[in-house]
Order: sequence, then structure tokens, then C-alpha cells
Amino acid sequence: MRAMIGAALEELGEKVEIDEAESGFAALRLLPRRSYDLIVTDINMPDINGLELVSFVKRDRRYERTPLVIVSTEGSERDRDKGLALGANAYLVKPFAAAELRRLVLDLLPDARPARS
Amino acid sequence: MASRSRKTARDKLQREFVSEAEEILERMRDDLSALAEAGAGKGEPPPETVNRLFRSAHSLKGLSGMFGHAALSELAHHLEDVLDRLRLGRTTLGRDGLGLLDESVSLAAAGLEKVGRGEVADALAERIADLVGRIAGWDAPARASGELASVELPESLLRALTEYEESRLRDNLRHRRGLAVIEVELELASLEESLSELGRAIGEVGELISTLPSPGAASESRIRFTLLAASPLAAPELAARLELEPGAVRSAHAAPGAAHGRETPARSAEPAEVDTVTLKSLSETVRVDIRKLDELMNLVGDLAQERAALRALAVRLAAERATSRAATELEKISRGLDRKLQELQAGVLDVRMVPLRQVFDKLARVVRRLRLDLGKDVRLELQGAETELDKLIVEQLVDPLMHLVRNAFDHAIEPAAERARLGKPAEGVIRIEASQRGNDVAISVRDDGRGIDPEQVRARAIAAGLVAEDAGLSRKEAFGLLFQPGFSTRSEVTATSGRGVGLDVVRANVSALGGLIDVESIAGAGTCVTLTLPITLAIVQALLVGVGSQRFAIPLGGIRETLLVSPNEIERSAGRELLNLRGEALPVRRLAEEFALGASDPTQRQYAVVLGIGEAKLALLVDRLEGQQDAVIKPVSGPVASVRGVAGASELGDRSAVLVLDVSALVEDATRRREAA
Repeated sequence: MRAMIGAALEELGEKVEIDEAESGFAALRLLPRRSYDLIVTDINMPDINGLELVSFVKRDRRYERTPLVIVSTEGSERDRDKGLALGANAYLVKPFAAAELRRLVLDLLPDARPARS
Repeated sequence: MASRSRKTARDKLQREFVSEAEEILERMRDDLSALAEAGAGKGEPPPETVNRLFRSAHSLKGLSGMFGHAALSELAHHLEDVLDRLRLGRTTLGRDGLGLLDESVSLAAAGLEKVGRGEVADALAERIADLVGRIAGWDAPARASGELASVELPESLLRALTEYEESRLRDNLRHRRGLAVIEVELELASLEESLSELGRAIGEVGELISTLPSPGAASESRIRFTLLAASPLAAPELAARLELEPGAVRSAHAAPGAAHGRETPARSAEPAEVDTVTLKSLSETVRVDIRKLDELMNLVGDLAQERAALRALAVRLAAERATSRAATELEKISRGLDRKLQELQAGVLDVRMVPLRQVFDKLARVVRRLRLDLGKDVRLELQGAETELDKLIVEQLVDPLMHLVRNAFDHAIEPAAERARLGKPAEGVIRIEASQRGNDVAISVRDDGRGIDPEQVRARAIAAGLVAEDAGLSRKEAFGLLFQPGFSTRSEVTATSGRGVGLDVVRANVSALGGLIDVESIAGAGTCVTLTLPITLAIVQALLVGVGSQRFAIPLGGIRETLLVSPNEIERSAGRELLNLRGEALPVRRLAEEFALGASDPTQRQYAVVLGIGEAKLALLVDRLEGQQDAVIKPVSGPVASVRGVAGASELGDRSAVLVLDVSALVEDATRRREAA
């Protein structure tokens, strides 16, 4: 899934750089290292849950304005609402088409500047 | 060409699917058994098990969907759905729930087996549809849930709770447990370790419900975490238990009438039936080539040596004033490395360990076949199938054990008519028992056949020219002759002694594994052959000993004890040296003489290293004991390779090489010589 999302976003342009984190912890380690333009996260992760990651990102001064997309399977409406309430900018239900994700990202990054996610 | 490679690629993908799905189903089976054991039908199922089942079903759904197995995916989808309701407390297992889950997993496994054989799982669609219907009809009342109103939780924490975590929170409240909010700051680099350690510690006295990372740590390399835990313990006690500052743990909701501990779930009187279809044989990818494990083990061994080199360097640096501070730090790092390395080593060793069950199963099959072929009534009893040994050893054991069982069946156990005449039960018995004894595993093969008469063995040996006519052989020695190469091929011996076919081969196999073989027999009543084997060959802890300027390594597994002895404690009897150890006279050998290193000063006190394998013991005299070390035994080549008593060579931390002694050969030779004397 992660690889698929990465591939879908890479097609946005040559200058797009993607870092994949295999877990919530890995994401927490990556965040301070670079400055990302976009963050995509799942809800179901083995260590911390996606809502916790959203909460962290949106309370971090460095990333509070960074667009964040949650991808998850259909199911809990409540988790979706909570994610959006925590400040996530969009919620995408799996499975989705790569084009759908790209459209969404372009909406979130209107400058169409080289995106990092 | 292209289509073939596409087909191969598809096959490979399909195999990967089967193997991954198998893993998921295995895990689900384990969890279902755990549920059954926890008496899930009666009380409440352990939440973490139900949650894991939910996640497994979720993964299975996604996986099957991705590979186009619609029926499997449909089944998994309904399983996921009901497990989700279960974990959220919206339904209970009820009386039939567990059975239904079991049935679903079995059906999924059956479907997977079809896929594994290249068939379509959709053939099971009807059964799956039926089951899906029954799952949909699963209707058990929801659990009552606890109230959140009385709880004072930080807003940020509450807002980030998933639905599942919230249901866990309510459930804990309903069980009248207290809630605590724990603030910690952790190193980013070791989050996994720190949090799993905390989670484990909290799990002992309650449940870790949520882990919320928070910005604002003191440095970039650290991160703050707010944990929500449920426990009957009060906040200060919990802090003490977790080894945290008292201020780090705050009570969010006190447990009414705190500190009753966790309630233990009621035991189920009727464990759920566990499906017996095993999927193991289907999968290729979860099996690991033993050579890969060997490589890994060698690597671990090399690392152990690097670590020892690091240690040695630290010691050298510590001796210099200018570098002593750096040395202290290096020592600390080296200790940390040490711990991790030991875990790694234990982990790799653990992967290599397999239960004897697979060998036992093979033996059972052989006996079944022999029973049919030879029409003999023999029962095979097995005990200790769960005893674990290095996989390499287990594989090498198949032949010797097979040999011993065949011998017992074929030659030792008398034909029915003879047994009747002797008043023995019509059914003969071969009993195999395995058990771990320290670093060794003992496996005995016992039969109630005709047994061996040592006198007859002796006579045969003399006739075969193996021993002199006037040689006085002890009982044990006579049995030892059975393993002599020239002895075993004589068919008439097997006819009368009931033993002897290829026993020399058995002994060679067992010796190659660093083991010993021992026979005990009573004529007319039966024979027992015992194999004593080390648990692993891969890496051994060794004692370094010194003789003159030479050093040797002795595997600790073969060492019983060490003691300082004065020259006058060594007694001489019939030209042999003996050491009296608490009333037991042990044969003495001097390492210096064994390897022709020149005699040590006869007036000096020496160390006796007491070696033992099974019952046999030997006191080996050395000049110095130089400490313990991990040794990876590597084969030696050249002239030393054929020297008896040398198991191989090993490199030490200071990059010097030492010979590793073959304890089994030394002990065996010494006891034999002693009996010959």
C-alpha cells in the first residue's frame, strides 16, 4: 500500500521526493529530519495509531500548516470525523485510484510546487 | 518465452500470497486457541487477542482481495466485521461465537489449500456463503459500557483515541479500574524498545490503552509521549512499578476500592476443537535453508569476536592515564553491545531449535510399516517429543535413531511364539524417551526383547579376533564391543544377540555430533541404548585453559567443575593416575601429555577440569584457567584435523587461534583405556 501511494505521488513530477516510513515510530523519526510539504498516513498502524500521528503533527509548530491526508479502509465514520477534527485535511477511503490521490494532493498544494511527502 | 516468464512470475506471486495468508491463518488459529483456553465462551475474551484477530482478518481481506480471491476476501470481510464489533464491545462471543470463528478459519484454510494446489478457492463459494450467512446472523447482546463523564483526561489525548481505544477505555472503567496519565520523554532512536518495555511493565498490572506522541521535547533527538493506562494501582504505586518519577504519573480516575489486582478469567471446561489441518507443508517461503542459519550463526560468532577485541582494547586503553576516560566510555558501549549480542545470539539459536517431534513422527511411521511388513506385534511409545535440539543435530539423528529402532524391532524383540514361551506379553514394546539434562539432551531407545548376553559378545569378539582370548572384559566394555566396526557385520551375532547391525555407523554418527552412546542390557529382559547429545553445535561457551605457552578452549557444556589439586592428590593405581573426587575415582589425563607439550613442573599445583558426558567422567589437568569465552568452532585442516581429541579451532578476541578440545572423544578414550587397564 505504502509503495503504491509512493508510486502514485512520484508521478506528480520529477522533483517530487518521497520518504516512506514503515511505522508510526519511523514517521516520528523522519519528521524532524526534513521539511515535508505533505504527509500521508493510515489509521491502522502497528505502533501508534494514525490519529495520534495527526495529533502530533498538527501540534508541532513546524508542521501545523502542512497538508495531511489520512488513507484508511471504510468502516469507522467516527475515526474519520476525529481525524478531520484533529486537523487532517482530507480522508481517502481505500481502495482508491492513484489519479484520485493525485487530484487531491494537487488541490492541497495549489502552488504545484515540487511536493515532498 | 515471454508468456512462460509471466506464468512463472504469477506462480511466484501466488506462492507468496499462499505463504502470507498461511501465516495470517496460523496466527488466527493461535489466537483462537488462546481464546478457547481463556474460557472465552464464559467470561470476556482478552481484548488484545480479539484485537489481533480483528487485524488478522483485516489483513486477510486486503490480501485476498488484492490477489483476486473473491470468495476468501468475502469471508474475511465478514469475519473482520464481526470481530470489529466484538472488539468494540458491540457484541459478545456468546455460546456459538467461538465455534463460528473456528469454522471460518478452517474454511479459509481449506480454500487456501486449494489455491496452493493451483485450484480456485471459489469452488468453496457455497460453503463460504453459508458461513457468511451464519456470521451475519450472529446476534449477541452488546456489553454494557462504562461512562466517560467522570474521567478527567487531557483534551489532546481524548481527541486522538480511536474507536477501539475508546471502547477499551470504557471497558476498563466498567471493570472499575483506575486510569492514569503518564508523561515520559524518550529517545527517538529507541522508541520501539522503550515503549514496548513500558507497555510490558504496564501490562503486568493493567493495560496500556493509548500512546500519544507530543511535540515540545527538550531536544530534536527526543520526543514526549503521553500514555493512557488502566490499572487497579494508585498513581504513586504505578510510578514506582514503572521506575518513573512520581510526578510522571497522574491519576485521571481513581479505581474504586483500588488494588484488587487483575481478575483472572475463568477456565473453560470445554476447550474448542482445534482444527487439525496443518498448513505448514504447503508453504515454501517460510522455511529457511539451514545453511542460511549457519551463515547467520557464523556472523554472530564473528561479531562476538569483534566484541571481544573491543573489550581487549578497552582494557589496554584503561591502563593508560591519557585514555582511561575514553576507555570507560568504550567499556560502557561494549557492555551495551554485549547485551544486544547475547540477545541476537539467543535469537538465532532459538530459530535453529526444533522439537524432536518430527523425528519421532518419522519413527512412528517406520514402526507402523515394519509392523505391517513383518507381521510383528510391537508398540512404539514416545516421550519427550517437545524436547528441542539444534535443527542440524535433529536432522543427523534421524538415521541413527531409525537404525536403533529397526534393530530393536527386527532382532531384539522375539517372535510371538517365543515371547509366549517365555511368558512375555504378546505385544513387544519399544520406548523412546528424550529429555534435556543441562546442555545435553539424552535420548534412549529401550526394548523389552531378548537382551544381550555379555559373555556371548565376548566369545564372538574373540572369535572375530577383536580381542585377545585372555582379555578380561568388563560388562560395559563387552557392550562397547558392539560398536566396533569389525563386529557388527557378522549376521549370526545379530541373530543371537539381537543387536549389532551397523552399530559402528550409529556410533560414528553420534560422535560426529559431539555425542556419546551407551548400552545397557539384561539378557532376556531387554536393551536400552542411550544417546547423549549437545543441544547445539553452532556456538559454544568455552573455558580457556593454558598449558605451558599453549592455550586451548574446552566447551563449557562438557565441563562439570574445576578444582585446584596438589600433586599428592593424584593417586596411582595399576599404572593409571586417578583423582579421588568426593569418593569417586576419576581417570586423570594431563593435557600437556596429550599433545606432547612437555611435562609441567611435577611439584606445582595444577587445575583439574572435570569433564563429563552422560555418566562418563575424566579429570583433565591443566596449568592455568584463563576465563570464559564464546567460541565458534571452525573445522581445522591439515595434520591437526585427524588428531583425536580436537574438535576444531576457534579465534579469540585478540585474534589468536586456539584448538577446541573434543570432550566426547577425550572422555570416551579415557574411560575405555581405564576399563582396558
